Amino acid sequence: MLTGSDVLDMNKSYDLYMEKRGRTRKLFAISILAFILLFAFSMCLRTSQVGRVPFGVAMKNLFTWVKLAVAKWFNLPVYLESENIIAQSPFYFETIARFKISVITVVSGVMLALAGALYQGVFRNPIAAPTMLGVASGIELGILVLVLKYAGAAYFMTSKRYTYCYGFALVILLIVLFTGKVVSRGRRFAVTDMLLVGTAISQVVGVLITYYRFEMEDELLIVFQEISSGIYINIHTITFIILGAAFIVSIIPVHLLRYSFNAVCFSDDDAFTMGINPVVIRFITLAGGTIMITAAMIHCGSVGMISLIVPHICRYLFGSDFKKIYYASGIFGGMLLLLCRDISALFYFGYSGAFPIGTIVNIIAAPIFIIVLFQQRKGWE
Amino acid sequence: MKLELRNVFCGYGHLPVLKDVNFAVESGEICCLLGPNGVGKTTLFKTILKLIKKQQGEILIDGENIERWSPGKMARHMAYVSQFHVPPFPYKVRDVVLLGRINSISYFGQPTARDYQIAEEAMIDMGIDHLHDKSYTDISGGERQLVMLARALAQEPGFLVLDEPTASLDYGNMVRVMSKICDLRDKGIGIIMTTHTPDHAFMCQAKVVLLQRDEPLLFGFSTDIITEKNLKQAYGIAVKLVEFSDHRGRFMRMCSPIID
Repeated sequence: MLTGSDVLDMNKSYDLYMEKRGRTRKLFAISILAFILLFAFSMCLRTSQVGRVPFGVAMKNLFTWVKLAVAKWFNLPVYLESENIIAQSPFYFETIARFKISVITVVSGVMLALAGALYQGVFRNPIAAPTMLGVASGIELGILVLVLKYAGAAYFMTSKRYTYCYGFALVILLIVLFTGKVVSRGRRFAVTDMLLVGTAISQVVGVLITYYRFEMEDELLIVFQEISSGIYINIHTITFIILGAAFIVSIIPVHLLRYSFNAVCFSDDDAFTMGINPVVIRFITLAGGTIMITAAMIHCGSVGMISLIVPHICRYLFGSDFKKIYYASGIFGGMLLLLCRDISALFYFGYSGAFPIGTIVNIIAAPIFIIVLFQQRKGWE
Repeated sequence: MKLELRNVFCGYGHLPVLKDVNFAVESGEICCLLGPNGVGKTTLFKTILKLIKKQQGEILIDGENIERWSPGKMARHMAYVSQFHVPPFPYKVRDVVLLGRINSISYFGQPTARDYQIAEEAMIDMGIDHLHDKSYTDISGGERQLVMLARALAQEPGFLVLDEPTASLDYGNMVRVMSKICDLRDKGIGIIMTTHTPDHAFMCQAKVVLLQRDEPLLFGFSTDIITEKNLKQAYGIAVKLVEFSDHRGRFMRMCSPIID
């Protein structure tokens, strides 16, 4: 039975709750604003070249691009003058390339961060990384085989590259799952076993890759490095189709389950008795998370560290509720990876002039990770 | 509502840990499961909650066999508070309690204003509404137990199944949690709990299921089951029962072990 003072208390706590909610919304608004500013900044950069593109020019180029695309689609007469128009627009191709690269980076960042949040929740382990199941080494192996087979032509074999990368990632994943199943000997799906097996198999594949890298000629090595570290990014239409498909397929179930996912973060028994079947949710999120990490690493290079730190940052800022983590990871993952891409574009480095984004990610992520771990340590001890 | 166990055999694999379990609990009753370590109290719980498969017999709620019930339907009738429950992430107390509503929210839904309100009421009932925005990992053991009770309460179940609700609590928190459990009983919720302290059964005038190794279980009112002879038989220790009246003249009982 509620008494008068209880109702008062409830109103007070409700007010407090609304105030908190207002604060969270403000924080979200600031994050989105920061994201937009960063994206605008990123449009003004010239990849590995001195100088920058003025913002107005970049926007005008983007507008021209959209206009020409529409004209081409609907057969409008403007399209006849497309060459003229492009010739009169300074930095046209650079802007469009920059835009496409930024979009790929943001989508990859979003997927990486979400995959990290999902894995940490499913494995109930704050340092479980989605790369632990061996997907990353599968991708590297795919690129290695591609380069050994086609040498320099590997740059331009977009669809072959995706077939190899996704194929090898899948093969390694299946090997890990199968070995994990054998190792756990008929017991229930033992998640720690999976992670250990994944790490072990990654090591074996890593040794194989290192051996071949030592055997490779210099030219091949450069091709391999540029593709695997994400310096050379494909911006063909097929890239967007594959990336978009992976994104949509994986994000829809995660979006729908964004609240129920909380139940899995407690024990399985708790989830069952609360009326949620954790096995179903775990399967869906593991599948979604694996698609996300694979796609992101194929299209953006070895940037797995993002998936480890972004969920921690979001948890620190917004609390542990997965619904908030879900939105916040999207924003911060995209933002952080784009920031790393921008920083890597500012440097002129080495043979190809570009700085691998993975290096920047690791340089930025390592200290953040240590700080966040210290901050959160009491949380999961 | 009535929860009934008929000739239930339970255990892991094919080896039965407990044989031929028969008892019934109704709404507004507390039933304490007593018994030595490893006798199968938790196994029995998990069988009732369908977390492990029972080997034989039937479990009925209001005469209906629960064998084919979905987790969702189970959750509408029974809520469980397990013994160890520390999530790896610092969830807010409010979010933990709100999770009790997840059954009515279902897989693809979002909590509504009503869900927030029910969670709020559950927190007020348990006297922990001041903890709202505290991190679940930062509060004390006693508060945590109350939070878990509030979460179970938010589920709006007919029965609460509590696995050693007072384990590792200090004396004050133990009494506080026990009195909240009695309050819940008075609200008409049926409660099944395990405990290692026979006094808990006296404290809330509970029914008792005394599980023993190699002997059939004993079921009845606490005053009938918790006797010096039965405790000696179950735990192998000498116990003296003390009877007295409290300040309102109510008849009380306590067990006191005898150490030579």
